[in-house]
Amino acid sequence: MSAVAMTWRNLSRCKLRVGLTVAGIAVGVALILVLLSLVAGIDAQVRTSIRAMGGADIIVYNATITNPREAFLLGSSAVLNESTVETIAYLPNVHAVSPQLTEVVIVNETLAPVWGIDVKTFYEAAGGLNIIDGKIVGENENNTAVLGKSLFDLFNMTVGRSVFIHARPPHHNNNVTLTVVGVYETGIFLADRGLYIPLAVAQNLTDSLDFVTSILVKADSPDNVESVSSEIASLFPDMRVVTLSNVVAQASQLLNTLTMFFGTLGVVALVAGSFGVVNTMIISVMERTREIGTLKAIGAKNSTVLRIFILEALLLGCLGGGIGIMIGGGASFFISEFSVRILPAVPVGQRITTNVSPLLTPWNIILSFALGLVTGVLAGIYPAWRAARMKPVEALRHG
Amino acid sequence: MAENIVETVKLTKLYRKGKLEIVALRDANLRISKGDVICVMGPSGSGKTTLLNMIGGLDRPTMGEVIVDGVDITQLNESQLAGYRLEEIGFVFQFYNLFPVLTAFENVELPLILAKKSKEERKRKVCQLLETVGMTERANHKPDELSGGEQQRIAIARALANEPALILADEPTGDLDSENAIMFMNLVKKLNQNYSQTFLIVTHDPLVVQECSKVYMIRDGKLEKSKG
Repeated sequence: MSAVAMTWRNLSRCKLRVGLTVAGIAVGVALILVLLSLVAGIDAQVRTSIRAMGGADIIVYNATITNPREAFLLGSSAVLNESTVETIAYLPNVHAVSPQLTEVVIVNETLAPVWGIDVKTFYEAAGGLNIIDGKIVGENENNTAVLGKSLFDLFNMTVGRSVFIHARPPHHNNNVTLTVVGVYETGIFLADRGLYIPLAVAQNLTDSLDFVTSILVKADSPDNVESVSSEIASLFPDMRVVTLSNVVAQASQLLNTLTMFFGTLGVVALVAGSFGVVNTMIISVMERTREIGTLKAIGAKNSTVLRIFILEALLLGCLGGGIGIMIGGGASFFISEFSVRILPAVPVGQRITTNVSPLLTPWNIILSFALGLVTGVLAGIYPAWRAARMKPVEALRHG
Repeated sequence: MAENIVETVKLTKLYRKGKLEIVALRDANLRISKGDVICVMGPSGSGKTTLLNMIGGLDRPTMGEVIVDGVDITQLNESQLAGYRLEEIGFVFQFYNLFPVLTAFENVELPLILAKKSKEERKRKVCQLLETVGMTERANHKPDELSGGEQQRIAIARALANEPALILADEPTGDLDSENAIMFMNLVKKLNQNYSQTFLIVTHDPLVVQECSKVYMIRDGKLEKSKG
């Protein structure tokens, strides 16, 4: 018979009481896990959108397509005119402007996002790419491509070989063969699964000459980003103007609200849950007074009695934590299924996402579970100490 | 002369109740030798259990000594006393005090776990003890599935687990019918004859008294020998 087995049997003596106590901890743990998952999800999303902006201060999108599913299904949202680029370029305090055409194409039979970039301005507006092998597409090259690391590895590619690209319907007759001149890595799954090609090549593929999907803008100083973006917004009311600072500001505001809400609820629930543990354990110690006396009479040290009851509290915490992460994990999944639309349009590749998706990470699961465990043990210390210091003679005399 | 197991010297226990001082036991001198079956009688509240608890290291006297192997155990600290109870003493209670969540086997095993015995050794010892008390068949039953007599036999097996020098029994037949009380005393006699097991029994029960080699009386806190 193990100590855990004995503790388990002691707990199963009063299932309802133990069940309710465990539920108290579980609710706290679940709330904390949902909070952590939401924070992780938003954090990941903000990181992704910041990376998607590269070094650009502002990205301008067409605002008429806001539904990500629609944007995805339409396949192309090439609605910004290249003349818009000229207009923005002549605004005061604008340092550089670079048009981009984002599209999903078929590369060697595999679907992949492609970014058509204007090589000349891309450096100035977005600061270039993180090239890990080879080089970026050259200024006057019309038959070259740079592949994301994942895509590169997927094809077992080497620099100097070529890839065959063709567009999706209705442009499926358009195709082109490009020489791979380099590999880049961003750390974003979607971006590393794609490729960068010259803007003109991308426009040819999709029969969208003169059209682009987004415009990257760099202000001449970080202080002027706000004024430039509001200028653009007032000039082109149909456009969505996204700046790094408003992504971060809105996300952090959301994070604060969520942390306040779930954090407060979670902590309150855990504290209430810990009272439940204290209560249950004190009653259990009182009910088993004579057993504690007997235990001491047959030679158990105070420290042994303490350990027995701490183990019981630990098991309560374990159960609460385990059930809590199941509930919290389920709730996180439920939230991401029905996506809360709170964030501003954060463009990731071609898709515009407005959803907050909680992200369940192993670390957050461990952390929430540990919180439940710690709550149980902390709450168990006092009742266990009471049991341990009981005088055996008095305990034996008890009912 | 037989080997001394426990000797009490002027053992005194006083209780304070408000301003009143109550004498539970005064100057009790008791010598227990190996192989003794001693019983202590007396009206309730006369200090019998107090004597038992002080010898068993559960309670501390106000004055006096309890000498075990030349050591005065009243000077030991709590943890040392727990070790003394584990190694040297076996307790048997009126209401058996078995752990309700544990089977008969596990109840007997518990002191061996506390003494950090290996699993194989525990198993061997528990089987042997259950055999001795005639409870092998009921090893996997919980206390509430056993009769009072059966529970008391399990309690004896538990008390014997770490081969104590002395078994202290507080009204062991108080909750048993006479048939089971006789069975219990037969077990005591058997253990005494076969293994020279020493017993100190607090009782009212004439059935018990007639089987004991020495009988003491406590009256108004004073211990007096009345037989043996």
